[in-house]
Amino acid sequence: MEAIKQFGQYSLLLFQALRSITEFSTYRKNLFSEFIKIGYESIPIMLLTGFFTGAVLTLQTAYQLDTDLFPKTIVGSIVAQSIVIELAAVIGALVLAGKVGARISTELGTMRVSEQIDALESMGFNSVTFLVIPRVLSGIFMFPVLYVFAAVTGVLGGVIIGAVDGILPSAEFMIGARSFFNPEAAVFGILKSLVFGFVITSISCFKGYFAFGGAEGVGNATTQATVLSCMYVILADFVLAAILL
Amino acid sequence: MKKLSNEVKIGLVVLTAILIGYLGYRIMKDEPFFSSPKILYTSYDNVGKLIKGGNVYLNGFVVGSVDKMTYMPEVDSISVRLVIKEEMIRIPVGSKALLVPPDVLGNSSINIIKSSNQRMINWGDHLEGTRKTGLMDTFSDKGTAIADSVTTTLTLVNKLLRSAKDLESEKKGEIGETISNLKQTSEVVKELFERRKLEVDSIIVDARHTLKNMSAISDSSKDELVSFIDNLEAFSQDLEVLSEELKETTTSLNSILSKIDTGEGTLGKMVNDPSLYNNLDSLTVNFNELIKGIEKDPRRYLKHMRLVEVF
Repeated sequence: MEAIKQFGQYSLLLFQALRSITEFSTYRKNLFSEFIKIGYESIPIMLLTGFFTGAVLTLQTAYQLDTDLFPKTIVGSIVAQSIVIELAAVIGALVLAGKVGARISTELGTMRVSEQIDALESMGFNSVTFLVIPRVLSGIFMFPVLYVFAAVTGVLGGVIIGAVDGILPSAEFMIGARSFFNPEAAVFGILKSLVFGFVITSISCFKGYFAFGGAEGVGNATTQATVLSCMYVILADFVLAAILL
Repeated sequence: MKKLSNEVKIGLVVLTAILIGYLGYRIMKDEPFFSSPKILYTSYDNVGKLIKGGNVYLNGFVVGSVDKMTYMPEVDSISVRLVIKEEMIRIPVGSKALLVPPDVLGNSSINIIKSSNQRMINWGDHLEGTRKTGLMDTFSDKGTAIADSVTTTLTLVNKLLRSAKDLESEKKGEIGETISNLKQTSEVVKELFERRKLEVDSIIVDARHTLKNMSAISDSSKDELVSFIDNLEAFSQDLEVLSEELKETTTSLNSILSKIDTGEGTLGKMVNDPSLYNNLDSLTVNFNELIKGIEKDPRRYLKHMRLVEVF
């Protein structure tokens, strides 16, 4: 029952946000601020995540396919395809769930328990428009941008580690990567990251917005936001794969 | 330095993402970054496991890749779109796109076979597609015959094994005896070797020593040996000449002997006619009698001769 109640609250929050999405002037300043926090400030962590995901995947694929039955180029095929279609989006989203989701829920939770949200409401501000919409829109807009960085550095990490570690030359890696490259995979990755951006930011906003119980409540909200974000990212990944592939 | 506003930062991030996304896409598609790719088309009834991204070769050099394949139901064939990335490639009119079947690793490719035409094709034109029979095709064509052959061979092998098994059960005792004999023989040989080990070692040492000596002799007397071999060669040549001459002589002698044998010529007649012998024999007898007569009574025979005429 509690779960259904929470889902109802979540749906209502999203409905309120959607209804006031046209009030651009209200949240414009906050929107750009969130673009910076979610997008610009997350670029280094996404570059690192992408690079090392590609590097580790190359090492492990080469280790597991260390047989004469397969050409070495297959390592490039597996790494590039996995990075573009799956890992850049999912691993990136899980990392961002910790970085972005935790920050959003903590910010909103603190504002809630310190009655700043109530103060906004009492001044006639629509707090959902002012606080939730910019964060969710930033997630929807900036996650695909971050996905592009992670995907490109992921493939690059695979190429570099493959060449440096003597697994396969970069030319062979790229032959393998190209032989199974499908532009639709990149579109699918962008679509996934867009959904993950929405899932993480909306869940974090919901948990922070309805936080209660002082500092401990904020901590609980942050923990729940992070855990639920990760869980729903994986669930959404499964649903999207089942629908779109 | 003036601090960048949030809007500028966001703009830069988005533009960078679009740029690296575009460049990454071009790299993954194996297309040039800033120029439009050169496209060619070809078609095949059967693309034989050709995949998107498969290499396109010209004179054994990779010049592009397979970009797209589309089935055309109206002509029941597959249209293949080729992206040529090399800038300087010129392909003559009438060239063919040879589909090279999958190798053992399953990679198909397209090989552009240039014609001798002087005119060059325009990008976007259609190349005639041809197929080459590959190892796997040949194998699948001959598969039934090979399978039959293998079945026959296996039947024979089975039969052979069964016979061997029967033979084994029948002659088990004899085989065991033979093996036992072999074992005994090997033990005897082993014992012999063990007993004579010192002698065998000594023989080996002597043989090695002799070989060393021979080697030393051959090294030190190399010139003399060469000279000796030359002389032997010359002698053998002389022998050859001599043998030829002897052969001719023998032939002549045979001819003479055969003539003698057949009674041809003076010698033949002398050998073969007994009357001459008889005449000579009687002549000798008469001559002896004459000598005896002269000794007995010389005046009878010398009375008509004057002393002066005799001496």
